[in-house]
Amino acid sequence: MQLTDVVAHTPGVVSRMVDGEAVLVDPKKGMVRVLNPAGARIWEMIDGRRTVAELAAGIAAEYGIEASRAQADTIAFCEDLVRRGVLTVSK
Amino acid sequence: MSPDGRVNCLTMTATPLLFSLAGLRTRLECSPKDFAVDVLARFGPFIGPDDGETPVDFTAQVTFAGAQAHISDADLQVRLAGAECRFDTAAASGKLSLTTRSANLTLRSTSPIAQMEYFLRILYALLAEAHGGLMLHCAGILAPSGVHLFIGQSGSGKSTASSLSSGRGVVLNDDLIVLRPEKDYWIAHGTPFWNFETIDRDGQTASAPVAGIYTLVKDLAVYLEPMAAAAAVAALISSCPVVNGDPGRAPELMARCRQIVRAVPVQQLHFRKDPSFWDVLEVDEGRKTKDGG
Repeated sequence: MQLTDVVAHTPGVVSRMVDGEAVLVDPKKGMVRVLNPAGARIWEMIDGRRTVAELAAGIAAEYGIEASRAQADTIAFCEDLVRRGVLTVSK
Repeated sequence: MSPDGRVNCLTMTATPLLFSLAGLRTRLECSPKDFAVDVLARFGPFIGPDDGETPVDFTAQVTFAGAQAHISDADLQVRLAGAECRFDTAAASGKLSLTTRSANLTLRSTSPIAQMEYFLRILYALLAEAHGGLMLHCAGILAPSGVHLFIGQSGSGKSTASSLSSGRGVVLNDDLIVLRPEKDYWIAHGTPFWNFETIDRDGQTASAPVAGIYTLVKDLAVYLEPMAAAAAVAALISSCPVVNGDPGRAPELMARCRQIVRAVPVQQLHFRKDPSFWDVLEVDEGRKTKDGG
């Protein structure tokens, strides 16, 4: 995955914030997953228009961490969710 | 009718049958009569007398068209779309509509009662959800403090927990329980939908407030571990058969599971294959009582 990629929630995946964490449900696949607060925040920011770099910048600012670390973590997070089918990526 | 108000299956007219579960009544119009008698024998404790005028929540016409040996007895294949549900296998075909509150089903299986049970499981998962409740894949055990629910998929230990509860409570069911809301708490209702291995324990129609919900972890040590609300909601959603596979129901299902988590403590129960987990649950109940919870 590249920092210039744009990611979007996969249609049909439903989410709900619960005490700062996010519960994701993909009814068609029978998948239920919980995202921790940082993951939930990235999930909230994903709108189908922001790039991975912009998501990482948002996390770096909110959590006060270095840009390089935020980028690496955001890429790893998005790649994991793409693998699980709850995020889709467009170049 | 017997002295306890239940229907004597040997003398009752075959159809219609009034099936009642969790306060939700379904008029079952079964034919032919022999099939209706078999349905009555299987689900007897949940079937009451029907004067034909009792208001019902649902009406189902179920016809057993005769066993066809070449048809396999696979579970009902269900296509759920909004308020409608279609069954379209060779063994069972028909339609269920929550809008018209009616279903029409034709069975051709060599195991029509098993197919009937699958139909009723699906119907009551949908009815419970439509009436503000949920059907939960769990074992439910009625203890003095209320009903303790042990959730998890097959193999997680629900039946084990049930079998280890002798003398500690009454097993309402070891596979499926219906929950319905009541003011600020939830009532657990026994169902006739047992694991097939334990079908001889059928007949627990009791209901009582839910005292606690536990996800099961097989372990050498026995203890309770708090769960974050999101993990608890996720665990409940994973345990809601039928409705959790419908994208259209997902937002409401998530909201309802959140309501349950707000009202009922959900914890992880580490347990081993002996009844000692009940001591841990009783200590926890004592602590909640002391804390005024």
